[in-house]
Amino acid sequence: MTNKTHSMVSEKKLLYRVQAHKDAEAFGRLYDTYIEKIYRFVYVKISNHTDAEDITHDVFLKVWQYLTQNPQKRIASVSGLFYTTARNTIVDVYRKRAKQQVVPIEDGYGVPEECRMQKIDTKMEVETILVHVKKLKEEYQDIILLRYIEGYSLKEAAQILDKKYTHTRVLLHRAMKKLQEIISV
Amino acid sequence: MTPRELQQQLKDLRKTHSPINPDASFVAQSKKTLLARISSTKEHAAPAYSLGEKLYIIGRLLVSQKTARMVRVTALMCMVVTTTVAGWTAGVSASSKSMPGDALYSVKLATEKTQIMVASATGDKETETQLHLESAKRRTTELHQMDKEPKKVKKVVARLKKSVASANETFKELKAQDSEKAKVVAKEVTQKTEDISKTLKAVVVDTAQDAREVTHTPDEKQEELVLTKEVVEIRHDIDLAELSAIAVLDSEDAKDVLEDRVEDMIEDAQEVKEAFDLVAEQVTSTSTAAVASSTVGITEEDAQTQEVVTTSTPAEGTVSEDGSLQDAEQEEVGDTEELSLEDMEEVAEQIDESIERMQEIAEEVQQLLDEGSIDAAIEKTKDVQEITQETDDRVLEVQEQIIEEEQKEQREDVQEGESEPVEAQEGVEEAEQPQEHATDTQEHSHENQDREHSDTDPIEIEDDVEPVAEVVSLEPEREEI
Repeated sequence: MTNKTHSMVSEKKLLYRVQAHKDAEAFGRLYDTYIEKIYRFVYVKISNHTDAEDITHDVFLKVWQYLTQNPQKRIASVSGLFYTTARNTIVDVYRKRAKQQVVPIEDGYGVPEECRMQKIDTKMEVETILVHVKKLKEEYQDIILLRYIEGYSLKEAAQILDKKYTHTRVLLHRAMKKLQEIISV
Repeated sequence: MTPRELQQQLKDLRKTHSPINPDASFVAQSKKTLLARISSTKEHAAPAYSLGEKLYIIGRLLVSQKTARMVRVTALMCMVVTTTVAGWTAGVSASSKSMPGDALYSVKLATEKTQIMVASATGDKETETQLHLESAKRRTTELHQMDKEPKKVKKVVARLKKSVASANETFKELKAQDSEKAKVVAKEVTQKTEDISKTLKAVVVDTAQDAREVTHTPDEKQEELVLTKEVVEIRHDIDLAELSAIAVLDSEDAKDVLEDRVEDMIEDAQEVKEAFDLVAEQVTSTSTAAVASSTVGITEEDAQTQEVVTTSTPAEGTVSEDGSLQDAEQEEVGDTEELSLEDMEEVAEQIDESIERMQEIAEEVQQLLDEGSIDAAIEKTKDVQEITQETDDRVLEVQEQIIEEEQKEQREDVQEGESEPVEAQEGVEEAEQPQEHATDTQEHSHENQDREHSDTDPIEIEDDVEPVAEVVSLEPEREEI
């Protein structure tokens, strides 16, 4: 059994324990697996550490509630569930803030304030890439994040994004092409 | 920047000290808070799942949605196919035991026809011959086991006839096409034809026994006889088919089968003779019974008359009249009996002669077989076969004559039955004669009696209804006495 398959089976076992037994410990292990991934996903979209932390915390709480309230619900992909919940939570936050007429967290294309403060060259280089990534449209951002930052295979990325494999491959190709265009400008 | 460099930079974003990663303190704190919160909710509802539910949940978790959908579709298709196939198989299987008149009987016939059609379409004469024989065998078994309802029996007999003819024809074609294959099939053909022949024999024997044990009307007997004739005819066809198959067999096999067949044929002829003797015996006993029943009928009538007569002086004429009637009846029955028995004796002699002839031919057949002349032996066996057929035909003819005789008697009985009230009235009239002591009435009644003595034709008796009616009108006077 490959590592990937082993981790998938183990994830399914944890999912069963959460759904069938409301096992907090099992959920804790899922938390350990996904916390950084979800945080990065949220941070790329929000660009604010505090908000990203709040949203990430909310995401895990919502997933727990969803799993325990729907014990017989078939979960095709655990990672897909976390990312989808994260995407929806971000959307909810934006909507809420739009209603409250609060100034957006950031313009979405600007460099995060904290990043600007860091003067280390390597970090600057990385942050510049991030700035460019943020200039892409959302689905391009998602596929680049999943494929290159999180290291998912195209198949896994397609499953998380709930898209067809071929479509995901085309999407990644276009996203990378666009990113290169932005960088070269 | 090359795509590879770009990809590398994107991968570097995940490095530990990248601002894109969460703080370790946040990760730990968030987990602590989350677990504290969810642990408190755990207490509230922890449903106890049954084993089945747990298995269901595990199944749902471990099997992906896509796989589950495929499995579901496949399972559904399998179920549909299985149900269809199982339904058809069960139907066909159940229908294999169905009998004519059953709901599934048509399925049975359709299955047989389909099999034959497929074999015929592929030009497989070998299988086709066997299938025709199988059909014939099934029809024969049905004929043996079914209720002998004439309409159904007729249909089965017609189908059997067709199957036998088709089997014969297909086997001939096979012989012409491929003699080696025909040789292989011939052995099975002889086996199956023998089985069919034996079952048909059982059908004939059972029908004959049934006819002896259960009272049938002459018309019913006539119908049965027609069917028996057809069955006997089919049996001869089957026997000829067997002989034709024997001709294809290896000499050793042919010799064994032929010896058995000749023996069977002689045994059959002897059984036919025994059966014929039984029929003859029955005819004799029926005739005796007829005499007895007439006697009983007359005695009862006589007794009634005597009972009434006890009140007065017995009339000589009445007694003498009864006596003469009885004699007439006995004479009439005696004539019929004599005629039937003569026929019977003649046929019995013919059968005996046939059996002797068959035994002679059987010896010749044996001699030819010993010499290795299989073809000549088969030809001789055909002679035995012909004699058997003639014997059967003769016996059936006699049976037909007997039935015709019975039908004739029945018709006469019906005619007599129509005139029966007249006779009853005449009986009353006879009884009233002593009561009357009136010379006019006595004379009148004597005239009637005289007429009755002279009247052998029932139609003429009917003409005498009016005078009798006059006598009946005297009955209240008798009651006054």
